[in-house]
Amino acid sequence: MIIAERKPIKEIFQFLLPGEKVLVLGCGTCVTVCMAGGEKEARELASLFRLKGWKSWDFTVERQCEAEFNLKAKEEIAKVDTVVSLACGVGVQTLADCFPEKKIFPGLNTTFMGMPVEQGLWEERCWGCGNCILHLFDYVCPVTRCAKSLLNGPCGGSKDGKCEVTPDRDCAWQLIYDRLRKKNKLETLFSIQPPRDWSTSRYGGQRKMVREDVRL
Amino acid sequence: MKIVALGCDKSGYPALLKWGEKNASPFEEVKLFSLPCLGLLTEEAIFRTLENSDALLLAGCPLDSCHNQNGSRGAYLKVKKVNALLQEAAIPKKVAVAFVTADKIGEIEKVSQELFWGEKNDNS
Amino acid sequence: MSVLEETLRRGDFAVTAEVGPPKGVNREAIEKKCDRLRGFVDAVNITDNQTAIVRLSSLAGCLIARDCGLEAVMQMVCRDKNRIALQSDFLGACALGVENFLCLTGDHQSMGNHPQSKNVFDLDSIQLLQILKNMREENIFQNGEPLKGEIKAFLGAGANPFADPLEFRVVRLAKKISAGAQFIQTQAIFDLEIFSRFMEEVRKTGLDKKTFILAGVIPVKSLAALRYMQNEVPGLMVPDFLVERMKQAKDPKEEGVNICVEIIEQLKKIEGVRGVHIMAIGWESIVPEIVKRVNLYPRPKRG
Repeated sequence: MIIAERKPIKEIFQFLLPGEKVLVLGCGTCVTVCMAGGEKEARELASLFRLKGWKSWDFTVERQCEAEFNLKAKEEIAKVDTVVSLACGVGVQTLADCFPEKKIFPGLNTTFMGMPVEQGLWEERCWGCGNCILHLFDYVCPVTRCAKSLLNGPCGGSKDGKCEVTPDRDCAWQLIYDRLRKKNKLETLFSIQPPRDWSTSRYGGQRKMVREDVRL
Repeated sequence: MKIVALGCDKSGYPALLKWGEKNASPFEEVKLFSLPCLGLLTEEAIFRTLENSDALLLAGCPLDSCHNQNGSRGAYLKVKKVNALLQEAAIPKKVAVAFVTADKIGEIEKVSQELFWGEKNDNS
Repeated sequence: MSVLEETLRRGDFAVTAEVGPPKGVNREAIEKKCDRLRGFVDAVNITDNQTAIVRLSSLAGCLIARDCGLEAVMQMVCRDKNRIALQSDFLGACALGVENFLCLTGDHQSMGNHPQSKNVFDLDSIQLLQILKNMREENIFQNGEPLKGEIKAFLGAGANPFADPLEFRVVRLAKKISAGAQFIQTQAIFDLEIFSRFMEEVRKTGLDKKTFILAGVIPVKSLAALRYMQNEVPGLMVPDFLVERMKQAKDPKEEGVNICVEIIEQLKKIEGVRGVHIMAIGWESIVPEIVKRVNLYPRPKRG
């Protein structure tokens, strides 16, 4: 899922003019699960705004990244001067497209696609490179989890299972090695992985997908 | 100063009652509530309470003998988070939590001293 | 054929040294280092923004070294350039007469002085080697299109026998060799025991016959420097007894040189080690003394 975190409160305050009416719009999907922008967080932030002197209330839609859900907030949005969206970057953009006349500010920083490793700890797991090769590396993505995206790792900076770049991060290649060794499949790593075709990734420009089979 | 005091049925509320007998007089307004366990309290509820008061005093069971096991621990973490947010937002309001038994209110006295008068004492 | 390649093919024990370009345009900085090294080494490695700190470019450094009468090994890292730029640089360097290339993945930019920058890592060192080899042997670019002209290039790679997982290090070396590494310059060696075991594996798999291995060494000036390498540099192993020796030393600089000399003497005896690569960063002036003391001076003449 998409992971995000709330922007520093002071940065959010700077979006707002004195005396404005502000709606905090939560999103009920990814950012609810990662406890950054769901109903609970929207209520907290609206309350903080009130404590700070703004007229503020909250509303949460199921998914801000889909226009039809945002329309359910139409009445609430009509009542305010400014909306602080607690959706990911996709949601903020969809919302802005739905209400082009409204001042909308992002209340979150969208950080990555990842998973909750344990309560209160999330890690990036996918880059969306558009050409999945997870099966070759026993389901540890070297593109995402190796700081240098090495396909023929590990580099010379792997120490005690940790990455030299950020020593609180696991070395992806140590994980790949350990997991393949356990499965007696180390020989998978003996052949050279050729240069990647990065054109399917973001490097090919903005990506777009058309599926004729599901179009109306 | 308008304050709200909130305690759990098991320990906090009876302790707050006892504390209030001697200590309520300096405040403009004291509202006292009870709830089954401090663990039920949400961050949002704390913020909402602070919207209509200057400070919030919580009292619950001792951390290691909470009637509902993790209620007090949860309250402790939420108080920490809320105070951090209030500080970040430069909102001059505060919440504090005391862990007490019904008959021992020393912890409330200590915590409330800092919560209500902490800054005053520092300056004098 | 480059002097370095010729020396190695002839079977002479090769000596290379590292020269870091300056953080500026003062070519004298390189010239001064080269003047000290001339006659004592077969080639100098010109680093490519080593440890992700911006310096004068590797290619320019190679040309300055050549003007000083020294052959250069041009280091190329994958951090800052994609396959377009790397292939282009390679062509340019070849056209200007650079003959030795060392392909490295490169330190992550967060370790350097522009940690806010984007990185590239379009390729890794193994893929870069393969591409350069194909440019030389098949006369093709990475995309398969033909390139014009004959390329003479002696291709090398780094190797670290001390990084984790240790058991995989020989496999990775094998991958580099099959990708095109004709010579190898290793990470600095302090722990001869681990390195000997690594070389034993290398010989068992016959890799020492497929490439020329130059063992890396660093002369250390002080106890603090040695401790730093022991504790702070991942992928470096420094045995405690060396730290103890430095601690006891009356003259740490002299002891550092002694240790380096002893390590080289041991390395010379290890079958499959075909040369030594001296990384005296910021202390290039000590290289002649070391080379003399290990009886590798004078360097063999060309041809």
